[in-house]
Amino acid sequence: MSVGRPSNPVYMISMKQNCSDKQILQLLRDGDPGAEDAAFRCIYREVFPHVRRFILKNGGQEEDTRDVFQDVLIGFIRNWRTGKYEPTGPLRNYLTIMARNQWYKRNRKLRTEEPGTNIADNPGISETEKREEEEEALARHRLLQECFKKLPPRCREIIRQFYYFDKSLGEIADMMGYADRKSVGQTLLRCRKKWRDCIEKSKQNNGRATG
Amino acid sequence: MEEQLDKLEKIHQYLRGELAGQRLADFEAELARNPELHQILEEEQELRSGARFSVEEDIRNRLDKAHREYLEEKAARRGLIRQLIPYGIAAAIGLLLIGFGAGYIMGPRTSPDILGNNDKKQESPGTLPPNEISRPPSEIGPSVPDQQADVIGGTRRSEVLAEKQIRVLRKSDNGKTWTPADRAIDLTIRQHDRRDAIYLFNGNKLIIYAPREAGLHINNLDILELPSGKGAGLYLSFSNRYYELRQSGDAGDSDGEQVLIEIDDPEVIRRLSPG
Repeated sequence: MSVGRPSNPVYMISMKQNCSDKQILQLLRDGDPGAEDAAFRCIYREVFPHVRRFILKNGGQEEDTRDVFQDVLIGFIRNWRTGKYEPTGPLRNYLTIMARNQWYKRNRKLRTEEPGTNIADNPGISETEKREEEEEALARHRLLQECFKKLPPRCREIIRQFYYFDKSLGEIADMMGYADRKSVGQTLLRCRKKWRDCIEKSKQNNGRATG
Repeated sequence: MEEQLDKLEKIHQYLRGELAGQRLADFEAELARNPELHQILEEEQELRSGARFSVEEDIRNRLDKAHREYLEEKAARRGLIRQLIPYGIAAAIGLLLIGFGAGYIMGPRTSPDILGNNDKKQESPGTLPPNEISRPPSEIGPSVPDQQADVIGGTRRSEVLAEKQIRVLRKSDNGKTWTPADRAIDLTIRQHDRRDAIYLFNGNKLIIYAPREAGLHINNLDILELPSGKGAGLYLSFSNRYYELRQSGDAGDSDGEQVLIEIDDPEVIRRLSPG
């Protein structure tokens, strides 16, 4: 992503306009939020109706269509940016197949999670303990997120690329206009420290508040 | 500095499962004897999961927006089609009348009696063109409409927060108070994890999917009916805010799910306001 890049007219895509796969992939390549939003509109128009029809025909509800489609898109964006997705056929087919697999996977998971069905597998974990663990994990993630949001935009972008999209320091330097790996690395270490300091401080404050 | 960056990149290669063979063995041996490296590894795991959570939640919020825009565009398109239906019907009737009129005018001139070939016409009464004969009856007959997805009757996995039957309120004759009408609505409030309330309304069943923090208390909630040109309009009243309720399951409406949007028409708000 190039920070501060002027807005591109290609982003002004309405629901009425058709979008090619090439156009969508190009919009999703750099991680520019404006471009991403335009791509999301295209994908919703071109692909979502097919996914929705499939899920509704296979016992799903409206809410499921949205959740499954979002899970698929998040996975797809990550695969595309990390080079794990190679466009070999129409994007619509790829996303629809991903959504089908996701829907079957989700159904299988829900079946195994029905009360009474997983006691044999996890005899030591009660429902309450499991919920408590989930809540604790969510609280931890919220704290990390709060601190992440407090970082300057450039720090957030470097962290996004390094920690989420698995880009190397060299790649980030090229993408974001740094002189070399070393200079982006220096910034990353500084941002990482800021993030960690904030997390530690929040943990201490929370500890004081609960203690 | 260089060493620190190399270490960081190596940790990430390890976490992504990219280290193999001797490099993996060396790294694991170093990890076992170096508690500092072990601590950095744990920190990096935490930061990676934090980055994932933050980035994905941001994308999810923006996808929600695209989803809402898609539903709104779709609803707008359906509205336009509904507006055009009367014109379409009028055009079809017009064409029929023109065809009928033309047949009437042309009829006597092409009449078998006048042309003298009446016998030929009567030789094959009721025969279909060859291409029609070869088609199975199911293709010739009326098509069966697709079964609409039952979005109301099915069970959702979202948690039910409240259920109640609510009487619809109508303005009394003096126009100042609301009194219960004969009609009742089965209202269910379900929790979901999105920011906007979504509803499904079909017949006398209304399901509202509300974020938990919205705190839609069923006891403070009314369903109001106002007479309108197209029949009675139904509105949801909650904390002096009003929302129009549109029925799903109308012709051409297969979506059902709609975003609960507060109405901003001052005239309607005036009519809905107490007193």
